[in-house]
Amino acid sequence: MISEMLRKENIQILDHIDDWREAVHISMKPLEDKGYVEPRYAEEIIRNTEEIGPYYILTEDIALIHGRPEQGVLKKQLAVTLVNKPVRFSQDSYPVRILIALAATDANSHIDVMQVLASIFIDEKKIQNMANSKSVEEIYTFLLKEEQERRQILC
Amino acid sequence: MLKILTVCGAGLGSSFACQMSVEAVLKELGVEAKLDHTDISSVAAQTADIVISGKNFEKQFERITLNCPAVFLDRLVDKTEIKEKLTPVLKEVGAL
Repeated sequence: MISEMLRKENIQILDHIDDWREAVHISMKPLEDKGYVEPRYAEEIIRNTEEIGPYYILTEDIALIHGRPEQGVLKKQLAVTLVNKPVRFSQDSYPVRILIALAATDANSHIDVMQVLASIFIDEKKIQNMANSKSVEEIYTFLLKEEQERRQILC
Repeated sequence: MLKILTVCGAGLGSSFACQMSVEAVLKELGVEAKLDHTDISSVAAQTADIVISGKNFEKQFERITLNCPAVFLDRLVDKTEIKEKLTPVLKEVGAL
């Protein structure tokens, strides 16, 4: 559940980020600070990216930044960073304003949260809505509402 | 049943999100399939009828012997692109 996997303190809004390496570090900072990932997790993701490109850019404005569990994940958790000026991770990848840092302990146990995120990712209007949020509270409420709506559809 | 495998670098984030978009598309098309997600280093050891991955992995896939068709996406979660690229492949494997 979003309420379990995303603490409100893990949400941040920034005006700009200088480059993609900094973006990886900044997006992981809340997870590092609270002990959900080891400090090496961000470095491992940067190394992965240098090897195979930014595999976590899902569409315009969305980066789901993550590595493998053994690359430094301690407990599952999310962090959300919104940046007003889009960041580019490579020349041919989409500019991104929503950076979602994912710490997953295995391939499946975060399925409920992924379902909520996926319902946002497939909907351009929802992405815009989220990207244009002005406060942490707004982002948090939006995600909780998305989760609730999904549950109502399923019931 | 038709088995579709989505693939990314870590096998739990991008491929998982992609799997969910593919699920939504298959529902619209009325195609039943078993879906799963994995990472690129384990894809060769798995069996599937169709493999779906990001364009950035296309080169790496050239080094792997796949026994099934592969679809490469620009946007991993874009239903329109998935439908457009997956439909001919579904026809090719006789699922549509």
